[in-house]
Amino acid sequence: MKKAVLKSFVAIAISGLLLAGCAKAPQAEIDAANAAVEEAGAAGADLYVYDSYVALKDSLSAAMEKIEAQKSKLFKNYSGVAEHLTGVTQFAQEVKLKAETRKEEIKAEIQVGLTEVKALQETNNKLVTEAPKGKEGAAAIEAIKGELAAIDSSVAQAAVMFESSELVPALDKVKAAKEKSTAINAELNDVIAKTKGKKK
Amino acid sequence: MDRFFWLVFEFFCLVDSKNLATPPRGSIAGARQHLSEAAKNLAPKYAPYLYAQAQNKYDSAMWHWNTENKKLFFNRDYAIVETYAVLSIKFAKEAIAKANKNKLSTKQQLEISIEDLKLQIDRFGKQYGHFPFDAESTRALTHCKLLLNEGISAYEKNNLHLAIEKTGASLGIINDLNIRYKTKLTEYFNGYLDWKNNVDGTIALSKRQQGHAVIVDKYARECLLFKNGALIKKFNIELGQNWIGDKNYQGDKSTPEGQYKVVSKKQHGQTKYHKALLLDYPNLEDKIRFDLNKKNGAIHAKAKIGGLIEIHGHGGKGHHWTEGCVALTNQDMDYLFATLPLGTKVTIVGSVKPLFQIINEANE
Repeated sequence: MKKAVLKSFVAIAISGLLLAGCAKAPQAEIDAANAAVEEAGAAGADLYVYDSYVALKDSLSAAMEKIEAQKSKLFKNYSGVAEHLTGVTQFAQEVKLKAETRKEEIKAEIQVGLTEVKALQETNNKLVTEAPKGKEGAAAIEAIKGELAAIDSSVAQAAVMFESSELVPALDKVKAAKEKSTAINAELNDVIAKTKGKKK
Repeated sequence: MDRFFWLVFEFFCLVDSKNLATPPRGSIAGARQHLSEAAKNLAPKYAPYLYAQAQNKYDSAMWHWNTENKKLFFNRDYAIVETYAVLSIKFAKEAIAKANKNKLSTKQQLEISIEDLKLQIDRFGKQYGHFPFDAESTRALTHCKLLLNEGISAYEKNNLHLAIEKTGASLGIINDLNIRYKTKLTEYFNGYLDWKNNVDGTIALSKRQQGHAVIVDKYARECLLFKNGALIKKFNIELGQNWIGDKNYQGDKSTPEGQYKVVSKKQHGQTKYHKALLLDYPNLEDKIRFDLNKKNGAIHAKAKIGGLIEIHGHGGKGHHWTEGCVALTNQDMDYLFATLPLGTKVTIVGSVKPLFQIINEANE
């Protein structure tokens, strides 16, 4: 009797050992985490929120290491890993949102910049017609017209870059164009004011 | 029963005797952390080969770990996993060092490039700023300055590759402009020997006659007053907008080159430019050249030679604006008007100095 009980106990223990070794990795959580990280990348996280994206990839790799670590064991327990993976998925969603937000901020900045430059250019083109005419100012006016044309060309390029989602270089271009257009605006206003002053 | 227990006991002894291999978790975690550090240091951009090697070794470590884990536990061997993890750490460390070195040297190089570019644009402005620019050159110069600003903006945001791209493009434009205008200048100065002869002749005449003479140096934008062959005064001047080259026809906005004299003096009230000294343009040489140009079709058949080239006031605007006359400030014009009698020789040349001297002085 005793031997029978002992045999059963050993059999259960061995079965338990075998069963414990059969615990499965949390595939659904793995797939969800991978998909979420990929989505964050597709949203431009590597471009717009680079540091967060690096941290996210590190987090995913750490989770995969934990999985392999559990696979190495005789008695596997994936519950902690599953939690980690869920955390990675959430983090990826946050990073994706941050990237999308930052992208929209840059887009808005570009659009505002483009509108401002275009308005400045319109004003400048009008001021050029009011600038002192006659041979005294003709050469300067021609030079300014050339500069305004170059700014228009730069703005057009920025608009094309904006459409093809090259947002960071487009923003730099818009800022440079606005700076130059503002300088020309100040120059024209100054010249016109001086001319009006003299006429008095 | 005893036999059964012995079998179970031997089984566990066998398992134990294999010294169940443990995966190198520490090394793999270390490899991951170093990779992350390399990424934060922008190694993918500044040390791409080393970073790719580090990533590749890490991926291999994970792959082998996964492969070993599929085997029965007493058959696993993680030595190769350890090897790849250690290699990944090695490459990641090298990538970090190389990226930091490259970033620093790229940044330093960019700083130098940006300063050099600013200097080149500034120098171009000083050397050719008073040249008659065509619309295309004006657009190009503006575009060059815009690109420089974009480059500076990218540099300040640590986007060094974009900064290199923008400053490179800007440099390309200023180099093209420099070549274009240096060529124009060199071609213009092909007339230097004639100018020198005219200048020397005018100074000699002033000495001989013990009288006044005027030399207009178009490139330097100066009016030189001589008496008894010695320079006594210099005045800043402004010329026709298209001042490079000789005058070819009425309305070309060019200031003529040649030997003239003062034929009339217009007092204040007799001219809208404060005071004026009328010159005898066109002289015989001008007329011969004009007729030849018309005959060759170089100028329109209906073009007129023009006239009323004066030295007058209302200068001091800071740029060339006349239709071909030489403009001085009213104060300077008062002095010249009071000093010069009718018949004073006025020689207008492209430059008193040779081109090599001008370039040397500009580079100092």
